[in-house]
Amino acid sequence: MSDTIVLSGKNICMDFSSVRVLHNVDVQFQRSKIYGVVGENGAGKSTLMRILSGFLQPSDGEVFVENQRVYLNPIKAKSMGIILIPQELNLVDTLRVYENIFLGDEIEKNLFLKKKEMIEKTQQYLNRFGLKIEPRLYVSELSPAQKQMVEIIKAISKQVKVLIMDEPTSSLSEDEIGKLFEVVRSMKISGVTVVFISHKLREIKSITDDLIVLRDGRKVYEGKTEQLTEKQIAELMIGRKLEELYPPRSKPTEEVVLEVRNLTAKDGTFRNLSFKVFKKEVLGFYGLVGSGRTELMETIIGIRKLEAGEILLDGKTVNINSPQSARDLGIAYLPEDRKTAGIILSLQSFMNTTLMSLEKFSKILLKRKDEIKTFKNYQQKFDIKARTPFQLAKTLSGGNQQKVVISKLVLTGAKVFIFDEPTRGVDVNAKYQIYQIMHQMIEELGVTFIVVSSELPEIIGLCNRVIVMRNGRIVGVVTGEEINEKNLIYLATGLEEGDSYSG
Amino acid sequence: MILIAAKKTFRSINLSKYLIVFILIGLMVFSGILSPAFLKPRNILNIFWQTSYVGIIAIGITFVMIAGGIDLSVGSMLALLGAVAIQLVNKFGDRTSSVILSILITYAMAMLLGFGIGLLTTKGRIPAFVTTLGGMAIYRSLVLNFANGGVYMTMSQKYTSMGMKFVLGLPLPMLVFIIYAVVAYILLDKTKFGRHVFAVGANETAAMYSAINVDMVRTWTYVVSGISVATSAILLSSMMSAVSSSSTGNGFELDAIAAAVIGGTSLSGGKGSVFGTFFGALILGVINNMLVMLNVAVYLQGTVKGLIIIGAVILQNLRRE
Repeated sequence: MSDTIVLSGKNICMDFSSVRVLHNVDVQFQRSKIYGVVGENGAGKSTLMRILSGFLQPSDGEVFVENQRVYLNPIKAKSMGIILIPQELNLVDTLRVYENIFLGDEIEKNLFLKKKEMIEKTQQYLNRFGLKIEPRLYVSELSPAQKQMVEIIKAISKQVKVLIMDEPTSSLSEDEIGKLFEVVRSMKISGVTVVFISHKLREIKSITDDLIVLRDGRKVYEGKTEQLTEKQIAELMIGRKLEELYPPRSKPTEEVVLEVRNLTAKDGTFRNLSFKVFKKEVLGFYGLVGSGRTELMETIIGIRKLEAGEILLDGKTVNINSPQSARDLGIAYLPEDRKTAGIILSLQSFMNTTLMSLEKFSKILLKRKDEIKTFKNYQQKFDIKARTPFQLAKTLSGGNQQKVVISKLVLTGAKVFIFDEPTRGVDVNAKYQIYQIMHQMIEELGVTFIVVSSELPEIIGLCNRVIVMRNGRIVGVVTGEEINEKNLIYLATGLEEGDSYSG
Repeated sequence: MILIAAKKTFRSINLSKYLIVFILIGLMVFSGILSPAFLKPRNILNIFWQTSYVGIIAIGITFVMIAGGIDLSVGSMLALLGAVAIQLVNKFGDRTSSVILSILITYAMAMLLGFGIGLLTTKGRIPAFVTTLGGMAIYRSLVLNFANGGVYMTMSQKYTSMGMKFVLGLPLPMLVFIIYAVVAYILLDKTKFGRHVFAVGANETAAMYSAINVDMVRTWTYVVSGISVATSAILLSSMMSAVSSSSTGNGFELDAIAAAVIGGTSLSGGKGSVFGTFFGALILGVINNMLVMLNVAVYLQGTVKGLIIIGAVILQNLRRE
């Protein structure tokens, strides 16, 4: 029974404005199995998944559900139990949690909604994930991670045979990922097929049975996940040998560039934080969601108001009350949420690059030629894959968008860069390139980095020193050899050695 | 099916940017066939002239809309500023210097009002729809109150000769409209301020993180709108040598917004152009003129206008993939 093929695609081809993005891809998904689909941005993963769930019609090829040839549309796919959770969240912010979960499938009786039943069912799902969310809360009040969990619950609350998840974990904490995986495994046992797209190869290794690797729209591997190492998977994805992912560690000087003394947030998210950053250092900030990392950084760059405390730059107290003053002082911040805070999708690529430094290109009128020259310069240096400088940022892949945002920050001539989740939703190759860019900047320009990340390997691979935060406080500083998974997790969760940690 | 076919055609001939010009030409040819008098130079000049007043205001509103706002107060503000200009001229006497002084004071007042509405909207965190709706009511009521519902008139030769002046054979309002459009185009497309307007309207959060003072950029778009209204108010009141407290500027806000929208300006911000608005305004002008020339029943003219506006926007949407 478990060998039954529930969903398959034969010879799938896809063209977007006469550019072929999928070439004769064959895939088969069996019942009760967890599949991983990996590939670089632009490899065709999302396109393939959207075809298999009816959101796109293939230019050529056939889709089968339980060996029946089908022509899917989203509604038909849903009724057949094929459900896609897209990368972009599709929740209605102004509706409540339970209303979102039952959106389009409201439980009703004689035209009236049965609210109580919907709330109860929602509560059951929330409990199953160990989520402490009140079903009647508005979605707008949830954190990104909580929203992601609600989206997942929404999908699995339906009759589901095949669940396709496009990067479900990119905004989840380790703890929440653990919970999600538990649910995925129990779904598998109950006969559901789960297709899991992720850039995090560690997760792919730990959860999937079978693996499909796509590269440039072609299937380059299909088989058991356990037969490959993470490195081999990455090499299949990029089609060449992978150098060491992380650059050599920088050598910080004795000089203190940025110092924070007794910083306290006005809204109470953190209290009494003090730390120093040395020139050419990469200082990591690690902590669970809600530990106050991002809030701290946003306070340093003047987006949030501080209640008390001092910020010193090169030994002098500075007053930062707006992002403008932070920029003028040479502090640049890469926001964690690229699409809402980093890049302006409807602006042309070069305009994103020059947005923070327009005075460099104008007295009164902007010199567009110079702007474009500057963009091309970064395009070459950072390997930004854009056809022209005029290409709208929304048509760039995630990794290239992130590189554009980085070019915007570098152009300001900042000395201190605060990178919040710099590689979220970015493929291995772009990740490697972003690390290289950081390394290059430290060596060539002598700049300093603060890296906030919930990805442990990234923190461990990049940082000279890591500050761990919990509930708005600094609970530890780890240096050099001590920077390892165990130490960081113990500090971040507050568990002692010997306590059991599930995650 | 027709929509899909139309979509393909438009994509293949990539006339996206100039689509609006073709629509205008198409409308003019159409009108010319139905009524040959339409294409007489005198009539074309008249259309251009009559369009100038709303057109100038529409250009200002384009800035506001691209930054993600809306300005409903422009019609009432036009009456208020026109009345102020006339009263000042009457007070200062019929000299060139006093006309100039009156105009300068009118502009100063317009900028102040725009700045005030802008601050109220941004710092006060009140939706622009509400603040400018309030402005619309307040300005109109002030004009009505001080004129007791009547008309503001001026006998100043110097002032009234301005509005009827021809330069190089072209009516002054039309020339001002064209020059104003060019200057506005440069401001929007070639300056830091213009770039910031787009950024703020397209993604407020990202603009804030990019060290752009979002509130100030938005506020200044209302100043630009105020300046546009003042320009139009001066041209209109000097041409008419009067401002009616009850009817001058009525419905201008809707025509101005319609012109911007026909020209491709997005109601949700981040998109638009002076080029588009300029031709959008002319399209509206042609439609108005055509309806009169073709003897369409007065009460039905609104229906035709409405349908054409909606149609133009559908075309705009088609050319987006």
